[in-house]
Amino acid sequence: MQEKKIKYKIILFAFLSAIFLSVLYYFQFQVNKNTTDPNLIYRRIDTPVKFLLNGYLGHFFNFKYLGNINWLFIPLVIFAYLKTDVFKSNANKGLLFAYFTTLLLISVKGFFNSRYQLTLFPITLGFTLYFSWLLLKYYQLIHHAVKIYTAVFVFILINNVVGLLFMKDYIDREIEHSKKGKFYFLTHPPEAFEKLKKKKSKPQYAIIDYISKLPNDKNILVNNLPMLYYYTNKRGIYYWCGDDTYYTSKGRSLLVAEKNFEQLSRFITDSLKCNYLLSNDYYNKHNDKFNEFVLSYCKPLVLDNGEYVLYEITSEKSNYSLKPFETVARKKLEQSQQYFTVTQADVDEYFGKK
Amino acid sequence: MLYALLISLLVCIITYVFFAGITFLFFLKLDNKFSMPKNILFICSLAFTPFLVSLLLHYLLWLFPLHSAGFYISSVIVSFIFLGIISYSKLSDLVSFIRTAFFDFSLHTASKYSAFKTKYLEVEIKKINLNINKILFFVLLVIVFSNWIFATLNNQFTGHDMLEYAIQAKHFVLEKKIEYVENRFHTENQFYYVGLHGFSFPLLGTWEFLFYDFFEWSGGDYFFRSISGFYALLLVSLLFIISNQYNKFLPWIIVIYMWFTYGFYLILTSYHIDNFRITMITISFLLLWYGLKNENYFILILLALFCGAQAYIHSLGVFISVFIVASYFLFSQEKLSNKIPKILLLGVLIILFGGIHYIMDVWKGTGWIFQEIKYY
Repeated sequence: MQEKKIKYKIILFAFLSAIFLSVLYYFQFQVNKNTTDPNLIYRRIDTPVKFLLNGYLGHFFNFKYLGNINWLFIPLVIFAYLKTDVFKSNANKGLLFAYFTTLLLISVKGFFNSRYQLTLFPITLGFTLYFSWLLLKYYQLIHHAVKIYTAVFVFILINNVVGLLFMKDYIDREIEHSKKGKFYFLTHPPEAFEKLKKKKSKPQYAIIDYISKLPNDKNILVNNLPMLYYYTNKRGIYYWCGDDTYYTSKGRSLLVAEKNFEQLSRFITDSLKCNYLLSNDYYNKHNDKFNEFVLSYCKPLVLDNGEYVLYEITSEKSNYSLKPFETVARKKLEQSQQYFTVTQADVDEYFGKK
Repeated sequence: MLYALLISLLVCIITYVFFAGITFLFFLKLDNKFSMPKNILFICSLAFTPFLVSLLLHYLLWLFPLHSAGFYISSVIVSFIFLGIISYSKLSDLVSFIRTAFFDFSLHTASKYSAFKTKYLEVEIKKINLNINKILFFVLLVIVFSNWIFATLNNQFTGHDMLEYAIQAKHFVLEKKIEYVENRFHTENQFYYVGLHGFSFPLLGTWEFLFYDFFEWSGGDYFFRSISGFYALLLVSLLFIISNQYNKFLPWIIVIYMWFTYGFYLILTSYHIDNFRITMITISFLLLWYGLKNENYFILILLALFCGAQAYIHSLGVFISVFIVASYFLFSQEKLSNKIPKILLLGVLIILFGGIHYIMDVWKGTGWIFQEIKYY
């Protein structure tokens, strides 16, 4: 009779959990169409609820990065505190104190970075499963442990395989921005999987070969792509358009602010001695004014398969577009080319032939 | 490529095998009361060794700058040889542990070194007692290990942060010094290091690049690439060993869950500081627990070393170390008069094993998190 009661309790808990998770997933798929900040979109904190779930409470509810079992820590630690004597020991109390203070710090200071939320992940996972073990012991269900843990295991596996395949960034973008619809990835899993495979198999930095051949006396303005310094011997001024900050021996300075485009072009070439810009389209969009400058004063020279672009900084205003380069790059990708660059000559050849 | 692989392999063997063995010997020597299970102590030694190399390099490059690569390499090797000599008496224990842990799969001996003797899965197959969980665990390690080797050999550094660390690592070799300056700007290529954290992680790259400098070769970074996978392996092993005491299925659930969680998968398959710092933090929490259960000086010292380590690896670790020390102070059952010297010892060791970097950085360097960002 007692066991039957417990079984009903477990079924009820599983049912409520399923509803709870569905509601949370519903919020995870919400998109704030008014947000233009790529940081908020990339970090999945573009709506107030997502900001709370994936930001401050990300350690428990950022399902994309940390799976969906960590939230169980909350009911289980309450159970362990109320129903067992596990926290009578000073060692366990001390551990919990250090855990919660660290958690608080990560929530308050690390909400912006999912990697920080991983800090306590192994400990939370250990705690959660240990408390679940205590729960089974408390309800004398230890003899069902194999069944229960196998069920949990299958649930975890399915959930995380789904998460791994379909919740990757580029598919998120597909979900959030595609005209194909929010659940394209569910209705077309083979296509989504193909995209994932293609993305994984892309080699990095074909553009490096091109950059290495540039004259040594020409410097490069590097928009947050430190690969230049690691893979080449070129000189480059480090810049991040998201903060509009460039770095020199004197420290940090603002680049775009308080300059018109003509002044900016002259400043980059004459004062910073940079004739080229290494960036990518996604980064450029972190700063509207900088992006506008790139479109009007930076001539694309080469685009690689990893979407990195080398521009030549010009003094004359013009209308530059990456689109022809992207068209040729797509063509090369369709031809299963893995490691390539697209130059102006490739663009001319492709469109000339057409 | 082959020559670069050989140099990196040499660095891996020296660090992960010889130095780690010496660290384990040293820990065995210190732990004369057998206060920790040896398999956990073994993992602590493996985790602590690369950090110790980076710490030694930090002091050498800071206090004895502008020497040759050979000087720094030999100084680190001599330091470990010294540790080995003073711990030599424990060599038979080390051999015995290795034999039992890695080559004996019978149940009685496998549990000999565990604190949780009766909790292993006990299966008798035709009068042979086999520790099935241990065998499966080693199969798992082989899989993780293969994944690690494959990833390390095939993938270059790509992520922004990892490249920053790697470039800084190269600059330490080029400049042969660590100095605390307001702007970490390198004139030769105009690179500006914006990192706020301690130098432990980049110095692991420096350790490898010093060998390349010594052999006058370039192009390899396989040891530095291997750090992420190495610490992932340790983290998985640590959680497995601890959870194995409760139930034979728990460790598998933990390991497989971690594996299939996107965030962990990401840090397992890409290069980053995360596995390094998360392993150290996890071990620090474990040591805090041991320390409060078993208030002896060996665990206290180990706790201090790991708190210092996690602080030197990442700024977040500085605050976590403070929380751990506060927790030790609040929940230790000793008298206040006994607690205070222990807390002082903890504090001093944490500063020596990592905290000093932040003191110097605030005092003479970038200002760490207190820096005022000046736009001119």
